[in-house]
Amino acid sequence: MIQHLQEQLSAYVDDALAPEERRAVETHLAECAQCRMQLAELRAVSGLLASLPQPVPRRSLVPRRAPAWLVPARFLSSVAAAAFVLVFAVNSLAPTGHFNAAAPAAAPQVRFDAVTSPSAPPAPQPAAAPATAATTADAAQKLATGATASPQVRGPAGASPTTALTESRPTPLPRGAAPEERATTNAAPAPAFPAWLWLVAAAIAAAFAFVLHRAIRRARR
Amino acid sequence: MADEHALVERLVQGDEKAFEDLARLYERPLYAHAARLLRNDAQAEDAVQDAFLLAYRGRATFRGGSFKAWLFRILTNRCFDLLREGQRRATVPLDPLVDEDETTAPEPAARGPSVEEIVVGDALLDQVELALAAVPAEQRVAVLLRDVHGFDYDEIARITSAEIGTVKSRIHRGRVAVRDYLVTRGWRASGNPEREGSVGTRG
Repeated sequence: MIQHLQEQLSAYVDDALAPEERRAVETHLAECAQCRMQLAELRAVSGLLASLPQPVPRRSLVPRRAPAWLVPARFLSSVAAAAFVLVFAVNSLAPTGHFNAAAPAAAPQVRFDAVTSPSAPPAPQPAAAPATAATTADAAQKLATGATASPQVRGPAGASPTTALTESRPTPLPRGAAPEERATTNAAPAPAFPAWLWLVAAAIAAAFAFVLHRAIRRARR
Repeated sequence: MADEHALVERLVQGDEKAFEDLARLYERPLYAHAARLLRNDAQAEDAVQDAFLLAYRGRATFRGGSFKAWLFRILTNRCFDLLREGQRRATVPLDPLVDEDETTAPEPAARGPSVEEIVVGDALLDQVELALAAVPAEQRVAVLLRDVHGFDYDEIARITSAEIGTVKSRIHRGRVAVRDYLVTRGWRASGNPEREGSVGTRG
């Protein structure tokens, strides 16, 4: 009984046989009707499979990359949010008259001249800008006079700014202030820009960063 | 493939958009393959997206050769993972993964069309679909890769991580399984071996 062809038939259909194998198959086919029939069926099946309509996806499956600006934008938003929070914290922690966001380094500049001049006009709350401006003029004068008169009072100024704070808190602010602090004091946040606005800005920046983060994650999914 | 070659060149040089273009080029064949393997549209979509993600992350490991075959390999592995997962969860096996010994001819749920109704055209192709669905997954993969997607035996061996001899065997048995299914429903290939592409109703 001849050994009928099995897998070699399929390989023959696919032209995947070595030359000598192919010759052997053709030799057998010439003499075996059954295998010829099988060959025809295999070819037909192969053709049918090739002509099957292909299922099509309902949506695009191609991965979309996040636009290049998304990641830096998210980073900047996060940094901005953090910065706004910091500004808010600095603003609310500091008594706004002595410190402000623009010049935290001016702290040690507080002087004692104010304490020693009882005749100094009572300074208004630092929030009142025009009044502050008026007293700074006085302060300038007093500073000039105080400088020559009582140097010893200025001694501890650099050493303990916090004590200076507590002592001069009830007294007018700008009398002993160094010029740059005067300038920055004038620039102290007025009620026109309350501290909580920084928090709002931080929240907006954080929300923006979050939205960008979601977009990046969705694009990378 | 000329297109693929140019795109792969760009990808290798670090052009990430080239990956997107390659994905778009092979999106449909990949989906068709997954859909026939998994027999579940939603799962097939997920499988293709997973495969793209895995391919993108591992794009540095592509060592040349057919990029299409490389993608198909990743997808086929992913599909088999999903099939195995599905089998573990299902109480009744949905699909025999390996059926090397038995002939595959499960009882159809409903009787197919009678002999007179089987003609070349949609009805026959429907039958082919049903036949394919009854073929064990490993044989089905081999037959699909060969007859639908046109990969050669070497590529199929690489895609399925199998020996060439195993590939030959699976392709043959898959085709025979489809043929048996059709024949029991009255299909006859044209008896004339010279008219290779023809299919008739009765021999």
